[in-house]
Amino acid sequence: MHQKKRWVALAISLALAQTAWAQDGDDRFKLSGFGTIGAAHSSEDKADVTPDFQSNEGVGASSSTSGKLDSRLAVQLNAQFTDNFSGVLQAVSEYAVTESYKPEISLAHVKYRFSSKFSARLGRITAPLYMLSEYQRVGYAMPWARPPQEVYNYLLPMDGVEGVYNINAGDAVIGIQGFYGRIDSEKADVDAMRGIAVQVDHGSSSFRVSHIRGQVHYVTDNINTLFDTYRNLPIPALAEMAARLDPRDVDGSFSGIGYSYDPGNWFLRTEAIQADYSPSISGKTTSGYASVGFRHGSLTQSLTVAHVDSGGRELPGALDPFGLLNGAVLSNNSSRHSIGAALRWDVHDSIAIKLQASHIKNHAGSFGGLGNQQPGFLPGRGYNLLSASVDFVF
Amino acid sequence: MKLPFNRRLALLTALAFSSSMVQAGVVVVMSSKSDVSTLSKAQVSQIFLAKTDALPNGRVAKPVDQADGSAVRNEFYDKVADKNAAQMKAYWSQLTFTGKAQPPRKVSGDAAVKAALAENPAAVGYISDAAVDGSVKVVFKP
Repeated sequence: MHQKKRWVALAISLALAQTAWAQDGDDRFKLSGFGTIGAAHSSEDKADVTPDFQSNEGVGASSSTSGKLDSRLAVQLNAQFTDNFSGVLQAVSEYAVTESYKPEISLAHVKYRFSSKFSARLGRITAPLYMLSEYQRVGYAMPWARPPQEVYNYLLPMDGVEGVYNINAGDAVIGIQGFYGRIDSEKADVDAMRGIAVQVDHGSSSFRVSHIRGQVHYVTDNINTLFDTYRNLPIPALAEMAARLDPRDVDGSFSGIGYSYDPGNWFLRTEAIQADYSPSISGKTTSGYASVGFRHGSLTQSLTVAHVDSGGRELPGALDPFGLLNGAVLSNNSSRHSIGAALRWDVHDSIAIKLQASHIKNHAGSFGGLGNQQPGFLPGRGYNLLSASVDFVF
Repeated sequence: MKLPFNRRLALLTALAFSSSMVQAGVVVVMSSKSDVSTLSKAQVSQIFLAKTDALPNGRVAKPVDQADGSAVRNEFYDKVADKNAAQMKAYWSQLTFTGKAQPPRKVSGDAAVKAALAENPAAVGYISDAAVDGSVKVVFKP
């Protein structure tokens, strides 16, 4: 609670600082920011819904109501050096990924605009994984309290280079984005991450496809202990199986397809993703969601269905007499579906209040991507998640 | 004075209609010195939503926006981008906080838009049609 008061005070002082700055009449530098004060309540009390796949705690077993899932504050400095040369620095304080509110640099890059058709960025940019996800931290930019977590559970910045080539084709704009870089995160690193995304904007429609490849390293203390032990066992078949399932060095791929239609009074958003790290214990997940919403004045109501299917791993079964590898494979099953209703109220220019209720059903035997599992946790259960948040930009 | 509900509703309806009748239409304008003669709705929308900055003559479009909350701005985005003020704010927060683009330069009032257009033949603005004069030409009328 104390923390939230400090955030609000910080937000207000930053907003005042910005006003003072603007009065100088110097628009070379611009300070802005965004944030969310959010509380979520989970009915599952034996495990945690987490803000990112790397976090262990969020809301649930650790605390039945918590701000960890959604609360964050970010400040951003934009610099326009010349007409074509600009830079961005953004720091964010959030619980996700780092499991502390210590500020992290989420954007730090320079951009050069070579022509109307081509521009490039160098430095820390948002990994362009999804259609909507490049702004998945910015609650104010979204109709929901948080984007469907069956699809959007990564919050990772990429260090590298990106080029965007725009083609005007009649009333459509086709943007081709190519990128190369690496992700250096708490538990998950990606080397030689390269990909291409093509977006077509036409009127109220946006369509995007992407394909990304990279060398993924998912490392935790438990994984180190488990796989170091199993790979050195004097049981060749089991050691070999452990080597195949080892997530610490995997060639992974990530493909996405998304469509949004927003003619004003209503919208449709949908995206499907396939992330393939098989045969490692991270496996292969196919996820997707569809959300439809209606706007009435300052109110936006939406209904969202989402799902994730998780598979592509081998189960050692009887080959593993100790059961630990079997347990690790089984606990990585995140298959589930959810249905949720959200209400957004634009109370003020730059402030939105949101309420959201979701029912999540873990599929039979599935751990549902939950963290912090406690004794008594049963896979395959369903639970409810209620959220209230205030999103703001300044 | 307390009017019965029906009377208040009738009064409100009449007010709503009369205000839309006296409301001047918004027009998209460029400097009369510009060699661009016309823009389509799609081109105007793409320029003001930062999806492109290319003018038909190959020059770099410089959109000039009006102040948040002004009637002419609300009408412009409603007609050209099918978005209300809150949706525009949400749209720009998507682009700004991913470092992709910054919102167009903002000036206050039709006269300030005309002054900005006079300085730059690649500048594109919108004003109420009552403010159109010889310094600007209408390139699109929504």
